[in-house]
Amino acid sequence: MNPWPIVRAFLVRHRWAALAFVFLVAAGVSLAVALISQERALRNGSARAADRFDLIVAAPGSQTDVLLTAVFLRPGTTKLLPPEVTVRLLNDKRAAFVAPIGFGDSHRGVPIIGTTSQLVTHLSNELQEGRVFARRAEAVVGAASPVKVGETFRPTHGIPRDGNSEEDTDPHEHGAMITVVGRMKPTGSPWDSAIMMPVEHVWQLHSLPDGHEEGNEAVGPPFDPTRTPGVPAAVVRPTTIAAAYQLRNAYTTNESMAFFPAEALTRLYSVMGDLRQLMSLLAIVTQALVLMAIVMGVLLLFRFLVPQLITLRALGAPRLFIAAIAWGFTATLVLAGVVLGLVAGYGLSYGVSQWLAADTGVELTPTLASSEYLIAVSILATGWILALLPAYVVQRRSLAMSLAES
Amino acid sequence: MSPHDAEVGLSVFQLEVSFCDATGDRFNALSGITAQFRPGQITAIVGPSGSGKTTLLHCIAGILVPSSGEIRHGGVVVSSLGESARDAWRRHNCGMVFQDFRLIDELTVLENVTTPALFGHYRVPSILRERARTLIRDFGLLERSVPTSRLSRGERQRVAIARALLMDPAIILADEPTASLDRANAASVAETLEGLAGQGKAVVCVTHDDLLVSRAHEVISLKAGRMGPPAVDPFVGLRAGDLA
Repeated sequence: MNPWPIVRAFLVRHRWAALAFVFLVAAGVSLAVALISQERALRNGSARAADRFDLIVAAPGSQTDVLLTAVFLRPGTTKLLPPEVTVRLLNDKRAAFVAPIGFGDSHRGVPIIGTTSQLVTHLSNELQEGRVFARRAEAVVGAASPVKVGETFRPTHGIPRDGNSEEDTDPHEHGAMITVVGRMKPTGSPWDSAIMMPVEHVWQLHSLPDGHEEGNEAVGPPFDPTRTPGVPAAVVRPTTIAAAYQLRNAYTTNESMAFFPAEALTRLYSVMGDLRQLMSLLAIVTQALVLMAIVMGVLLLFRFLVPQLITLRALGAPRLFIAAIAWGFTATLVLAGVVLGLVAGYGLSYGVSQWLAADTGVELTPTLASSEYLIAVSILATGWILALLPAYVVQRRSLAMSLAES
Repeated sequence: MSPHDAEVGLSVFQLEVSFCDATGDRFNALSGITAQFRPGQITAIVGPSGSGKTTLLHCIAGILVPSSGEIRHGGVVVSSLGESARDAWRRHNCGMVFQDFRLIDELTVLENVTTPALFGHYRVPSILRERARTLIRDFGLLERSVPTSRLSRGERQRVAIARALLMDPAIILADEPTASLDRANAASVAETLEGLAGQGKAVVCVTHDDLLVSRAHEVISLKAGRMGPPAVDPFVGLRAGDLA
C-alpha cells in the first residue's frame, strides 16, 4: 500500500489552501519558539556579560541600576561612594584587585570608562592587539569599538543616551589628546564597544583629585588616600570565595552596598520568569488558537478531498488506504508547518538577538533547545492526532450516498 | 446448493433495496430484481431518472448492500460479504467507469492507470506497469508525462477505462460512460466496451445512450425500481419512453 503518490497529487491540486494552512501552523510555532529561544538567549547573554564581574561595590541604592550602569554600561545616575569608603576598599587586602569605575565622557557615541589596567587584563585575559594603557593619555578599546589602535582623540564630556543626545546639556571636548594603544578580546558584553582609560585621567579631566600625589602622573594602585575621590562603583576581585563573602558583608553598610552581579541578575530573572510565565501562557493561547485553526482547516480541506476519496473507495481501495490518504494529507501539512515554524522561529529569534545586541552590546546567541523542540513535537503530535479526524469521518460515510452526492 | 452456484458470471436474485425518505417513510428503490450478467456480453441498464439504475449498479459492485436477495459471482455470495471483503472483491473483480471519468487530474496517464495497483503494493509491480503501458497503447493514448487534466474528454474516458482494466477484472461496471462525450468519442467508447465483451468480460452499463444500448446483448429496463418487459427489440431498436 502506498498512498503517497495520491497525497502528493492532492497537495498539488489544493496547493493554495495547503500553503495557507502551512503558514498558519508555521506562524504559531515560530512565535512560541522565538519567544522561548529569545528569553533564554537574553538570560545566557546577560549572565555571560556579567560573569567576570565578581563583586560590585557602590553607594546604597538599586542593585539593578548599578548593575545596568557598571556592567551593561546603560546611562544612568548613580550616587558616588564616599571617598573614605573608596579609599578603604581600594586598599582592602582581601581583594586581589579593586578597580574603580569612572564615567562621564564619551567618544564617537561610545562611553569612556575610567578604570585600572587590572580590570582590562581581567576582562580580556590577553589583549587582541597592542598593550594595556601605561600612561594617562593612553586608552584601550573594546573588541567591537570603531576606534582603531594608534588613533588619537579628544574625549567629549557627557555620556550618550540611546546613542544620540548627550547627557550633558553643553557637551564639549576635553583638551587632552588620548592615544589608543590596545584592543581587548571580545567579552560578549557592552564593554566590547567601550573605551577604557586610566581612572586617574578621568578624575583629572573632571577637576577631581587624581588619586596620586600632586605632580605624580602614575596610573593604577596604590592610590593616595588623601587624594582619592568617590567613585560611582568599583569592581572587586576577591582573593578567595570566603573573602568574597567577607567583602560583601563588610561593604553592605549605610554608606555602601556590595553585591554579586549574579544575585542581581537572579532577581532580574525572577521578574523575567514571571514575564516568561505570562509569555508561556500567551504561547499556549496562541497554540490553542492554531490548533483550533488546524481543526477547522482540516475539515475544510477535507471537504475538497471527499469526492476523490470516494472515487478511490469505489475503485476498491481498502479503508486503510483511504484513511492513510486522509491522514497523510493533513499530517504532511502539519509537519511542513512545524518545520517551517521551527526555522522561522529561529530566524525571528536570531533577528531580535542581532537587534538587541546592536542596541545593548550584549552578545546574544539564540539556540533551539529541548523546550522549543518539545513545543514543536507537541504541536506535531497534536496535529497528527487531529489529522485522524478526517480519516475517521471518511470511514463513517456511506460510499453509495457519497457517490450519489459527488 | 442454490442453482446460482452453478452459474458462471454474475447474477442477482430477488434483489430488494429500500431507503428511508426525508419524512422517514421507507420506499423501495429496487424490488424483485433477478438478472444474470454473463461473460462476453454487454448488459445495458436503462430507465428513466430515479428508476434505480445506479442503485442496481452499486449493488452489483458491492458498494451497496441489498435489503434482501442475493448477488453472486461464481461461488461467492457478494451480498453476504462484510465491507472490507466486498472492497477486496470489487478490487479484484470489477472495473469501474464513471460518467465524469473521476481521474486524479494531477497524475499522468500512466500514474492514473496504475492507481489501483497502489492499493496493495508500495511500488507498482513491473507486470502491472507493463500491462498499463499495453492498455495505454491499445487505447491509442500516449504515455505522456503531463497531467491528465490536459487531455481531451474522449482521451480521459479512455484513460478511465484503461484504469478499470488494470487488474484484469471479469466485470466492467460503467455508469453513463458516454454521457459526457461527443458523438465520435461516445462511439469510440462503445466500441471499446464491445471489444471488452468480446474478450469475455461481463460489461454492465447504466446508460441513456441509444448507441450503447444498440450494442448491448441484454437490456434491463427499470421503472420505479422494478424490471419492465425487455426494452430492446433488436429489429426495431429502443422503445420510446425507456430512455427518458
